[in-house]
Amino acid sequence: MSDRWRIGLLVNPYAGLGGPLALKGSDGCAVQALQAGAVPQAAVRATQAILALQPWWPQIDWLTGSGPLGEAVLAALGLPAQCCHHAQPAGGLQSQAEDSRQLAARLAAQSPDLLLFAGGDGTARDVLSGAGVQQAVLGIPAGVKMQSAVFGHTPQASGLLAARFLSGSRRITAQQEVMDLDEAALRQGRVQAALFGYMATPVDPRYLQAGKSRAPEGDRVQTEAIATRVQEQLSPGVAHLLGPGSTTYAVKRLLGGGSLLGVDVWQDGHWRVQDATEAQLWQQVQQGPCQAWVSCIGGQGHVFGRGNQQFSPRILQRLGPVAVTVLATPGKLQSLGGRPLLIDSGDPLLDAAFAGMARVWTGYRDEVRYRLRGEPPPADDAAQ
Amino acid sequence: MSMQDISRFRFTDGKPNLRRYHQARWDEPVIFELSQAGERGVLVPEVEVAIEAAGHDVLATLPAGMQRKDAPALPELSQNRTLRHYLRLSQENLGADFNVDVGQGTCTMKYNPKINEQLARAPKMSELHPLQHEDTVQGILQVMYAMEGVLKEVSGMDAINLQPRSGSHAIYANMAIIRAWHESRGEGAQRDEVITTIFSHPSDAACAKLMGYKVITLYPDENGYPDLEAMRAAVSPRTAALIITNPEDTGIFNPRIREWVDLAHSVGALTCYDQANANGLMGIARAREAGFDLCHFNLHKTFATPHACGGPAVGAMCVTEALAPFLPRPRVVQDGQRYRLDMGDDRSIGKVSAFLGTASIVLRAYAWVMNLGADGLREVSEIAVLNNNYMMAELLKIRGLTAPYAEGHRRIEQVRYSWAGLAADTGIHSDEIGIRAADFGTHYWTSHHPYVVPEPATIEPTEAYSRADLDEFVGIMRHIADEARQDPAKVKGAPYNCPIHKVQGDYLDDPARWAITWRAWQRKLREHGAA
Repeated sequence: MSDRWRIGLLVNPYAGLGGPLALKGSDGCAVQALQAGAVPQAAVRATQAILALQPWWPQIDWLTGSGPLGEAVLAALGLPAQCCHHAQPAGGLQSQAEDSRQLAARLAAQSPDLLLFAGGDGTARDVLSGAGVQQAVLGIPAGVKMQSAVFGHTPQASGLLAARFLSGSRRITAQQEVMDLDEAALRQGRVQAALFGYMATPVDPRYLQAGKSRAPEGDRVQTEAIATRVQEQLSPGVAHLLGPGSTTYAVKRLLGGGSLLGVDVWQDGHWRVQDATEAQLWQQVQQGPCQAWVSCIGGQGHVFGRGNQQFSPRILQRLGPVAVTVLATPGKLQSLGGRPLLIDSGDPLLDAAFAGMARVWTGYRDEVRYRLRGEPPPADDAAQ
Repeated sequence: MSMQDISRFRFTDGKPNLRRYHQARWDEPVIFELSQAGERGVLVPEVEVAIEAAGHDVLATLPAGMQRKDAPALPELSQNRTLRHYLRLSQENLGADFNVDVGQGTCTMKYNPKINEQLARAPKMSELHPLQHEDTVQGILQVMYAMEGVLKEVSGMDAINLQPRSGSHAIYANMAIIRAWHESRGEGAQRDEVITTIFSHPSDAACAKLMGYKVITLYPDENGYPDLEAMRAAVSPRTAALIITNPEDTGIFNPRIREWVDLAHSVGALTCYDQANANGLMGIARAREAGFDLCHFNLHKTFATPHACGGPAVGAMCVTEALAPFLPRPRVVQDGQRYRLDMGDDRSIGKVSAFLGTASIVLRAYAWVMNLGADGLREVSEIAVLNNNYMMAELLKIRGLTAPYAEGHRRIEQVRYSWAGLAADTGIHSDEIGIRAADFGTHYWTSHHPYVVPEPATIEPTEAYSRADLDEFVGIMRHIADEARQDPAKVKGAPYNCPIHKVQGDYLDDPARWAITWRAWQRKLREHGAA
């Protein structure tokens, strides 16, 4: 491995503009925010992260986009960079998402050791669509909402985590969720989140290793252990509904296929449906016994209602809580910081019926009984 | 020039100043590198001719297959070079006899009185052989029997066994008893689940797993207590046992423990109390009164003997009368005025250790408890709890440090703190604070599985440290927290006063790049070539 590090830097200069103005985000409202006096913060936050990397500057080769896309931040710090993409003409605020996508794609094409981006959930989505799932990516929190599990706690933490990752000999990443809310709906007080995909993100090694029992790549190993156990337990004659997510995808891989982001149905040795629609699932649950295997969103805890709305209220009603098993690594449960698992099916009465002690498989013959609750009313979320 | 009172410069407001510490650095080679062919520590005089003629060839009495073909590949060097080597290595270290070791929370470090070491190393102990006839080892058998009596009193249990050589070994042996008990009742196949909690000793889940059980782990409720509702959801006729630590690793005592035990008993399960660390409980709370069927003690955590990692230890198993026949054998029994070994019957889980375990450790623990007496043991616990709560009150004055769960309540013998606030403000993580502390002659470690508490630090002062020791440690923590806010780069760059800078952790995860013996390293060099 080379001693030099190649870091791709992407700054979304408009990230976070909407937050202070209670706009719940910046998608499509950057002009309005700037006119209302919002001060761009993304460059400042990116600078904070890069300052945390200062001890390693001599060994870093920077790749970035022109001007506000990263070059300006690096130049202000006296750091030379290779420019991979020129921002679209000034005034093209709406083109920002496209700029992010194009820059992410061009950076990824150069295979940097790490792609560091400053933005929020929307930027994470753009980076995902540009750079894909293989590129190691880490977010510098600079947006209004950061529901995705790809950001450091603070810009400094992102910088330090980047250094830890790059100075490691094995550079372990985990597939972390990229989430976003529908901002137009949010501004009207409705919370609608969706899972957009996964990015390979460095995971803080403190959560993977320590003195008494080192567990390198702990979550990956645990995920495989869960998957092996599930594979052993798939009963014949039962339709197994495997939800989206990296944990369930490990099961799907063992079974030879399946979709990362969809609900797939496995029965008696073959896939009956892949990436099923709600209607297809409804048909399935009416035909015979079913068992659902779902994971939860790291850091948030949603079991239903985020990224798996195919499990509609009528399907969940039909399945009942006993036919649902949650799959989550210990690390994922611990990322909840003691908060309960959540269900937001869209039907509060159904949520109440599912609430209680969920059965969570956390490893091979390892289980947890963990509290599952309905979501607080949307108005509370919107008021935050 | 007048004399000055130097002592007054060592304290500010009655509390010790930061130590101007620097660890020794010797750049000492591995002992094999020091080896010089033919160099000897002791030169034994040649045997006189007459004596040699009178003797015979000793080696010829050994069977040919047992004779070495080559001399052992030991390093060859003089006595004084050997002594210097090991003294230098000891100086490049932090250790229980060097520093205030309160940062080893969950591992429970306490002072091992040196007089007990002398007892254990005295010829009367060190020259015993485990194969001696029991008539010739009545003294140590009496000590072991008496120590079992002490542990019966401390636990309230009916029968004790001292064979296991570590805490986890005792947990594993207790699990074997649980399995044997259910099998003896024809329920072995039916009962395949063991329930524990996330803040119980991690070995509890591990040993249950190793014994073939499915493990159900329960998380705390919002108050930090084990979640009783989750326990109700988890128990069933499949439950073989509940194994639980109390207080848990958070230092919070579960006041409803009797309800947990009763719930497990209501479905026919056994209940096992992990009392590896009973420092806050001696003479105050007993496993028996809470209704438990089994428990165990780590003699090194509670009874002031060396840790298992520093030498063979003892994990003491304690059970009720009903489970006594399942204990490992042989057991020491009193027969009139003499002591003998009883082999029990087929219900025993058998031997779990060679001979009777580690007799010299039992002797150390026995000396410790007899020196203290019953009142003294209770005082040990009271001081441990007092030390811990004094320290918590002082540490929580530091901005950015919290004690999650059970806010406003005191803890028993340790606290799992969180530096999450400081990390959010400064980007400085708990492990970096632990490393920076080494610059002042102490440290804490960050093995806090599972990482439920963010940015954890578990501090456990036990009874072994003085108020000045505790103030010194708190002063170091306060200094580092201030430094994190004013000069975070300084904390990140630590350590500065230690012989080795940072150890790259992931080397330890790469079998291709480490070797735990000189010979293994040489073999890897040959296989992979020197870089």
